[in-house]
Amino acid sequence: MKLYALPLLCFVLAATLHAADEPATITSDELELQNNGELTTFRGHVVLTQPPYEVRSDKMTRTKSDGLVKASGHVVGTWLSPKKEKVRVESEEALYAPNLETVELWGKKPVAVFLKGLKDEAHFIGDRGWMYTKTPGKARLIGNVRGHVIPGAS
Amino acid sequence: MRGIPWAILALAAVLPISGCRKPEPKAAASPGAVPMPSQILKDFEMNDVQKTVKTMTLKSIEARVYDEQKYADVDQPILHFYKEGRRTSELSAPSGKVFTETHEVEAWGGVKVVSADSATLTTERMHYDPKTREIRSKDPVRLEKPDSITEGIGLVTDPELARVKIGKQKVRFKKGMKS
Repeated sequence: MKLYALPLLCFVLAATLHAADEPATITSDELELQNNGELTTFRGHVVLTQPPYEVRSDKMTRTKSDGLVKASGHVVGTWLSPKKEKVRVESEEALYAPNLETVELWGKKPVAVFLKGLKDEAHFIGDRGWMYTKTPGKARLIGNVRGHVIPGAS
Repeated sequence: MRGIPWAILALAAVLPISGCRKPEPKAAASPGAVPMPSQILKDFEMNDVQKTVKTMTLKSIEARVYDEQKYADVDQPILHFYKEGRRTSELSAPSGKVFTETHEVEAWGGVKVVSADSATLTTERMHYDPKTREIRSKDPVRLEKPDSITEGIGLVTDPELARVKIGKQKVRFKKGMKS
């Protein structure tokens, strides 16, 4: 279960920032561009949207030279599949590295994954999340991984 | 000389005045009456110099100078900003006002700033303070860059648009957010 859970969840961060048909938008209370946009900082109620993905956080930064995107503070990613399956991921920090095609998720609180399928639901937590974003993808929840599946909950 | 800020000292150069005329004599002043300009200058140009280095040039087709109030209304002002001697951006607007002692500039009516790297900032009204080298606006702003369009409310930026703060913003990436 967890092997496919994380790819989905991390698409929330990674696929949004990847090539996509619809342009991404980011809204926030404040935007700061430094050094001609070399560093972009979004602060306050940051929402990155690229349907069907959405990422919310308190702060988000992007470094133009390496493309690193870091989200911090109440990071919540959601994804709605074409089959209407919902994935929700929560962490305190997240880092998307486009050159490595990876997303890392971590924080003082456990990384949490909630899956709501057409029939089943599943919840997982772990100390740290990691994934390789290219399809078909690899993903891990690392450290104190716990979770349960609720068949027929949906 | 003492007591006068160095920045102001270094500034002041009201340059070529290709047309200059005294306005008509003042009518009897009445409360609320619009003040008459002390001078009307055609093809007005003013340079702002800090530490012997030019930082800004303001050009206008016509300036109406109000000596007592220490400002001039400028029509269709165009400001060229310089950093380390190189021109970095251009501000244009239908209307503006320059404070003759401080060289602060108000511009309104649809202000546009274009930076050397083709970023374009537009807003209804903005204020430039040469002492802080900051452009500020409280109005809705739009910043268009080759890869994105940002719209928000309120702005603080340097004239080069290298460091920009925008409030309540929404940025749309034209082709996704590729690195």
